[in-house]
Amino acid sequence: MNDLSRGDQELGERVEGYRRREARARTESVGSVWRTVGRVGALGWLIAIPTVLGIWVGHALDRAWGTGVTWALALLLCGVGVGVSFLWFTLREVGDELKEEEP
Amino acid sequence: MSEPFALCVSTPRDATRIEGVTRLRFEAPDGLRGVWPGHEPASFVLRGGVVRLDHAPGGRAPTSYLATEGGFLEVRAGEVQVVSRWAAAHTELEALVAFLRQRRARRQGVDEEARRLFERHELATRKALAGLQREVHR
Repeated sequence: MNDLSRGDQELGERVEGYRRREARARTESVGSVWRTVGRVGALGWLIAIPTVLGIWVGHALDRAWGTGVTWALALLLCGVGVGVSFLWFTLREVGDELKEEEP
Repeated sequence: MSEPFALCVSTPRDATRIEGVTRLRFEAPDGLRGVWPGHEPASFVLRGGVVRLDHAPGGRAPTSYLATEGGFLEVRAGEVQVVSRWAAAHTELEALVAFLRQRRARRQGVDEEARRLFERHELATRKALAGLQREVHR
């Protein structure tokens, strides 16, 4: 195969690949929109739940050990850290999926 | 919102102007890029493949596709200039794929015909040289 044929084949494959990706994006677009809306809706809970859990457990420990608000504050910060990590992983996953779907 | 822009496609064979483009998406070596009306003047290397055009409503299909063998894309005020060795436009991707297949088959046919002619002429040249050598050594 010479350069001309190779060039034609590459161009054909690229256009064919573009056509396949666009057709897939069209059929999957509705489902993926709702999936994305669901994910975005859940993002707030990803931070809120670990934070509230941290405060609740910390408060319980403070009451049991009489340490004022030390454990509540410490576990609040841990909860926020855990929530932000969950958020980061989820956003990265969404970003990877969007890159795959891009025609 | 800025006015739609025009796309000028220049190849060695001809130059085409497509009016009423509201969005353009193309592939550069570092990934997909988009151009909206009001884009800052810029130049890009255009990777061979599909350039997707979205058009303003009224008359034309909402989307069309341009297949190119790569080249350069320049964004100017009110227009985008594409310079490529070869380009073809169509409103349907399937039709563009079919057109490219036909083009490839046609070029392969021409290539094979040229190779057959070359081999035939090479054979004829060798025979003539062999005959000449016999004459010289007689």
